[in-house]
Amino acid sequence: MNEAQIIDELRDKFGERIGTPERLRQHRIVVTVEKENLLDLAKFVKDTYDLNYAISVSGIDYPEQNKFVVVYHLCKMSEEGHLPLVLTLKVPVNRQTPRTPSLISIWQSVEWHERETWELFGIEFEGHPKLERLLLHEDWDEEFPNQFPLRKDFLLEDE
Amino acid sequence: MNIINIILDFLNLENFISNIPNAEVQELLTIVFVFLRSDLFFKILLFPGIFTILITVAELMWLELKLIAKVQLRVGPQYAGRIGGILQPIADFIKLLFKETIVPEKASKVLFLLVPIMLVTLAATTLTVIPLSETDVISNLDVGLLFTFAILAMFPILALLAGWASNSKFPFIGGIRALFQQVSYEVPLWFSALGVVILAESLNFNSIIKAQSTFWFILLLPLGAFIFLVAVIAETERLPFDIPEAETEIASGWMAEYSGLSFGLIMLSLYIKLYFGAAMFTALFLGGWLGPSILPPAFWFLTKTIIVVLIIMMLRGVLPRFRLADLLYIGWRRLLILSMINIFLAITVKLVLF
Amino acid sequence: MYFSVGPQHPGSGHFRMKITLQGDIILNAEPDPGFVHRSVEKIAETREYLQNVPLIERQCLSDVSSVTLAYAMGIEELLGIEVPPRAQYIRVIMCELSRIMSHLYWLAIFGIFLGHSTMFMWPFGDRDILITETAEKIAGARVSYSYIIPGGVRYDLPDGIKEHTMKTLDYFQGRLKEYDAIFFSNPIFKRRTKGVGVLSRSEAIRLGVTGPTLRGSGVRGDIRKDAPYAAYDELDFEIPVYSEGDSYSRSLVRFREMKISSSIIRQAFENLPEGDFKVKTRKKVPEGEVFSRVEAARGELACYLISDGTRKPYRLKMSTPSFRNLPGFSLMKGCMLADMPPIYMSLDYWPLETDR
Repeated sequence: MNEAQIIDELRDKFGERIGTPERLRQHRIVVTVEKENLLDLAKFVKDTYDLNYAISVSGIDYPEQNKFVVVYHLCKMSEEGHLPLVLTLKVPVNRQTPRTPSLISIWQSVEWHERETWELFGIEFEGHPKLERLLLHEDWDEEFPNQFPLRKDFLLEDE
Repeated sequence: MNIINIILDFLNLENFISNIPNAEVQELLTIVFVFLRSDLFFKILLFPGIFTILITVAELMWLELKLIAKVQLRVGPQYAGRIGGILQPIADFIKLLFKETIVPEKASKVLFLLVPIMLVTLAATTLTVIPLSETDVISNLDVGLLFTFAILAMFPILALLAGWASNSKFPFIGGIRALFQQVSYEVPLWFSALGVVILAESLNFNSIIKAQSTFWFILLLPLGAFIFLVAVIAETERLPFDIPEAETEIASGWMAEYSGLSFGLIMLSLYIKLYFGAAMFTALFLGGWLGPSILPPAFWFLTKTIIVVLIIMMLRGVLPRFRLADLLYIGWRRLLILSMINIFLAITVKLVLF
Repeated sequence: MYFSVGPQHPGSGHFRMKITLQGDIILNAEPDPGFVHRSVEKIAETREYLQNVPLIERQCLSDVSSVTLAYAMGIEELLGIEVPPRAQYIRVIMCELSRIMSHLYWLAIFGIFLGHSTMFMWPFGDRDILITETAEKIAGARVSYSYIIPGGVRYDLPDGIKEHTMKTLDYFQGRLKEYDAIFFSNPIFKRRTKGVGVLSRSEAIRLGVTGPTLRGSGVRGDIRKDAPYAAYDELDFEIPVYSEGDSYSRSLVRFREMKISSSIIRQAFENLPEGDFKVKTRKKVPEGEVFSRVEAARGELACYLISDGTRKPYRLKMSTPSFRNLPGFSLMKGCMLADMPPIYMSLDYWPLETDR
């Protein structure tokens, strides 16, 4: 399945519900999708193209545009190894009330990544079984109540 | 004329005693001095008693450090003492004397501090019946072998008490594992020694050794010797059987809460047990103090013991640790069956050869 | 009974496991990372691209070259510059050297966890004398040398390095044979690791593990072959794969990787081209995002870099292999307590990498 075919198929199947799939460079396809259509797109992508391996989940903060973006990187893993294509799903999330469905029911391996994104950004993943402290120390809530370190408005001491 | 007599003559204490007015005290002190001048006290204190045991054990520790270092491509102790760090164990012990003995807050204090003392005492007591030569033995019991096994049966209880008295999770787990391990390896130990008793017809160590004057028992009962060696390594908690000591996920087991002099005494008791195990093996299977009479028999005994100790220490450098389940499986099933076969073999040998 | 194999434990690293025991069986073993969190990602947003190279490499100290290579590859893709072939080969050499270093460290800690003190001393001795000295001759420092930068490498190879490395590698082959004899063929080691912590192939892909953990379960997944970078597509090497999925096969994968790395280094030295070792780069990186993947010693390391046209990155996310191997701790359920060290060590977990 080459990349142009994948882009066409996604555009045909989902049309207006997703942003235009873009081919960034060789082996990279980026798709923006709203959180309402996220689960459908994720299931479709997993079943049709057999993208059974989630590489990582990250969050990005865009304070001027008043949104977060949650980024999922997916690839296909077979018995013979990775296939070099990486499909990226970008989900914009409102900055005031950051909530998005969790993809843990589709890919089990995103569990720890989503937990870390919640902790450092404050994005809630609905359906995640365990959103608890992972990396920050236990006294974080007393020292910095309700603050999330990787947001752009959390400044380091030397800034 | 031994050295204690020389020292007491030099100090001339009997003169001092005769000047004391109280007649009963004078009598008491005279009896004490008669004991001090006797042969038995010389044996208890100097040879083959406390002094010999301490020096031998210190040098065994040094031997282990050097041997393991050579296996691991490094040098080992170098600086304490003129020749290659030979006083290193003594230096370690003096350092431990200066450290604070910390007793955990909720531990039972008396039991906590009593266990190391009992360990050292019992370990040294077992050595009173093993002869370094025909006359160099502190007490030539007719039931010497049985005596050593009776004392050996006390050690599992002491390990458990040490773990329980520390009032903490890891020592507790370690203590229970030590109990499991030492109890399960005592039975193969007895049975393989039983093979020797069948051949020698006596429980007295000197008679067993004299019965080996034609053939050493290791040649007649190789299976028994092998089982005995494995059981000795398990009893003294050395690698590859050191689960209670350094497992519980690497936190030093039932000795975890000990520090300072108590810890020093526990280490001492472990090495005394090792020396005792090797000495028993030499006495039962390698012909004890028998050897060509160019050199004194005590020399032969010590040489053979050190060779056995070297074999035991070499295993430490080469093998990793067993799991507890595997260890108990080996002790209760494999070694027990082998030791029963060993008894049958011993009976056969006895009927055929003697 | 609940207890924690905690951070103050001789040998567990800066990491805690919450273990619930019943008798001798582990009911639940939950990892609790986060003791070494230094927020590398946040600090990276306040520094320039070149200043971030020492910052990035300190998040994975045993495997320095691979981490900086991922970062450098990402920046080069954004800048659109092409690294000269000599620099690519030197990068391959440094990556393989650091892979051997990381695997020797793993072997030493594995030995001491199982109680094998000789297997603790030998790899550390060899690692220190052989490999770290070679790295020092090439790059100038022993452990964290910041050698691979965007644009190439910092210095050229010194004279006489080829003979020195060949001698080192010959001696290392002999040492590997001894490791095999004393450790990997040791019956007690085999008994403790065979059949322990079995991870089937579908489960491995589902949990998302990577690196030797994946290759020990029958999946031939290696970025060096699947999406080649640096000079790997011009070199000839194989990927060790075992299909049993227990701790023994994972250990054997790493052991064979050490041999294969030695042969890669030899090939790279034989075919080393002449030329430049560095190209000039700009300080301002154009807008865009890039996702670069390398095969570090512990698995696949992915670097997701977003830049906004200034001198400092907008968002840098490193997806490290140890973090992705965290679901592997569920293998401990149902095992005996004494099976915990082999499983824990066969995952090759490095707390610094997870916490970043």
